[in-house]
Amino acid sequence: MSAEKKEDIFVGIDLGTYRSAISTSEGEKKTVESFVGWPVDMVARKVLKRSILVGQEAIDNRSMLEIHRPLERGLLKEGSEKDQLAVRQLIAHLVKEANVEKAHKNGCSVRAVVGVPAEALRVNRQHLREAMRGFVDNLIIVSEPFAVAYGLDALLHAMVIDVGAGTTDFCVMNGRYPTEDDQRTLLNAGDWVDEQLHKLLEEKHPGIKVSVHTVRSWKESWGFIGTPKKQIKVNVPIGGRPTEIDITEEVKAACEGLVAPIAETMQDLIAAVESEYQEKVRQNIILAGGSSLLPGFAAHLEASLAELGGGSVRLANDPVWVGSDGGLALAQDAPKSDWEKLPA
Amino acid sequence: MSPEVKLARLKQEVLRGVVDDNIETIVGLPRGTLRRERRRRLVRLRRWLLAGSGTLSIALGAWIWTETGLGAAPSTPPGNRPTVRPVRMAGAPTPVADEPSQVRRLAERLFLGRDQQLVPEVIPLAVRTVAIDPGHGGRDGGTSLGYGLHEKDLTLDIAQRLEALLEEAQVDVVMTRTADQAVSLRERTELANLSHADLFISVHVNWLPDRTARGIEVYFLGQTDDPFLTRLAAAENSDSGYSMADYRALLEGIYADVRQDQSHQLARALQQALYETLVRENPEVVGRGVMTAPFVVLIATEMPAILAEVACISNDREARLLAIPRYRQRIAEALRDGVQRYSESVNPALHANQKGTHP
Repeated sequence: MSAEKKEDIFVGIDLGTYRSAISTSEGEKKTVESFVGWPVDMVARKVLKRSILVGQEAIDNRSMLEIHRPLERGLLKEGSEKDQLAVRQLIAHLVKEANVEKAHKNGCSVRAVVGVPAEALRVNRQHLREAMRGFVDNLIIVSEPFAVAYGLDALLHAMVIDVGAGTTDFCVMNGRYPTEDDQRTLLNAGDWVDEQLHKLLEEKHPGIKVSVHTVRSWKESWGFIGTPKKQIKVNVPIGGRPTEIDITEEVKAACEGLVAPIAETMQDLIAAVESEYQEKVRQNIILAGGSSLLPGFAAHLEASLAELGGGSVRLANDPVWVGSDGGLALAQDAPKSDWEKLPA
Repeated sequence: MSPEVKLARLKQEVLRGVVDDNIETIVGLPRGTLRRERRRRLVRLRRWLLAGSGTLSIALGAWIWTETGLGAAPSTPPGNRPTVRPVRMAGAPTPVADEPSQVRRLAERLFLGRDQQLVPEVIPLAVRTVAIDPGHGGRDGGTSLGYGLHEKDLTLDIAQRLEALLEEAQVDVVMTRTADQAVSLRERTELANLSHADLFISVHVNWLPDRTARGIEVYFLGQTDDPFLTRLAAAENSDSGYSMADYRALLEGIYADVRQDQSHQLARALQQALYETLVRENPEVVGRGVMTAPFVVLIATEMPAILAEVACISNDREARLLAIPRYRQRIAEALRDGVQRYSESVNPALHANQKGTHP
């Protein structure tokens, strides 16, 4: 029995490879691009007037920064001090943006559920615990697709496919916490599409000068799977001259490259489900994550189920927030006695 | 079972997995170790239930008999009062023949003390929410003395006093009923489970055929080979709202591990506190001990749970005392003290840190 009641703030955090999100019990929702940058030299520091930049600001000023992506390819980087610091800076930025830091300093107890890519959960969990110290009082770490499933109440006979930037994570829900056998991770995800598109453009237009960030923005603006609604034309410097090029075929090829590996893995996981429940799982497949927003994606995955007897693939209502919202729901449901108390 | 309740149960099961998975991370166990251990325990419990369920079957049989209307549930337990035996789990599980694996030994060493309690330093435990269950209510008056003293009124009064005391001590309270209303046992346990209560305390008043007998009894879940307790459980389990299929599922879902040990610990703390407090007002009170019985409210709850028979209404002296508000207040205070003792015993470190801030 405690003599004084402390107000608890519940937080769900989705630490993504490209974008991270936070949802709090106070109704705050924020996202930040998972990029952290330090000025490369004194001149850059003077120009930027800051010693560290996080999120879109870091991307926008990348030429003056030493840029780190703490969760590139779905793993928390642990190689250098800067890598480790980058994770903490990213978390610090998120909790500050969502006003959690302020409440924490005012004595509120912060209970956070952090969802990470399945690979990071497997490999980097201790590192993540260390990274969270000081920002939250109590911590539970889960895999991102599981957080999504929990938030959508898809706990029984369901499959979540979280198509992020660095990884595509699969999770089959059988009414229990998923084991490693119930989960898969592919590196075919948003970043992979960007790389493919970049490569295809370089092959077709030798001498093209375009950054991966620009390619990503094209994909986000015009990416599609299936039939294009219109031709995609962009202006880029080729051999030093501004040139208008049609990139429709390249965008289509790069985006559609995602379908086959994801469909295959989806079918493999369905085949591993007990036969009497396979039909139910096929009818309850949920797509989440930023890269799942590609138009035509869900329909093509659904079509790939035809040979297995058909199924239903639907897009989560809010693919960007569904992970952090799921973490928040989990935080609010977890019995207080089950939380790990993190040392300050 | 309603879809909402089914989902809530599913979530609890999944959350257990989340916690196991995180504990494995914290102490560096291979993933899945604790889940495998939990499954082993469940198998052992099932063996135990299969091997020693004869007496439980009698209770279930009696319960079905009353439930189906083939017989009327006795409002007071009939039969001769048995001799009170020392605390033990009748038909307690015998050790499984196979040797524990190295992994299990490691897990047990890390998490479980010799008496299979959670090591408090591993997971800080604290009592933050208590579900209080005033026995009976509505058309089910429970026991009575025939001149206006009904068990259902006494239990509600004591429960409300306990509620106030716990709230003063900054503990959240969930009441399974707050008025003279009929609430099925199923609804009571579901409310406690859905509220994620840390403890469940069911308050009852006893009636004994021997009118000279008096005293306090506290029960936690277990089998009994005592025919009186079998009949008592059957009577208390009437109007449970559970079907036989539900009942079987409940039995299969029992974990005879930490929760069981903690229920025993809670029962002991409350029994001691009740006796030590009430003997000052009622020097002839008898501490009848901590006992095990298969009451539905103890089976279906998912937290440490006890049922306290706080006095004997069949004894004239205790009935007169029960009519006095101050005595009922003392009972509530004793229950509060018991909760506090239990809380301190499961996490001495936490309480040491809070020393000086206690109520």
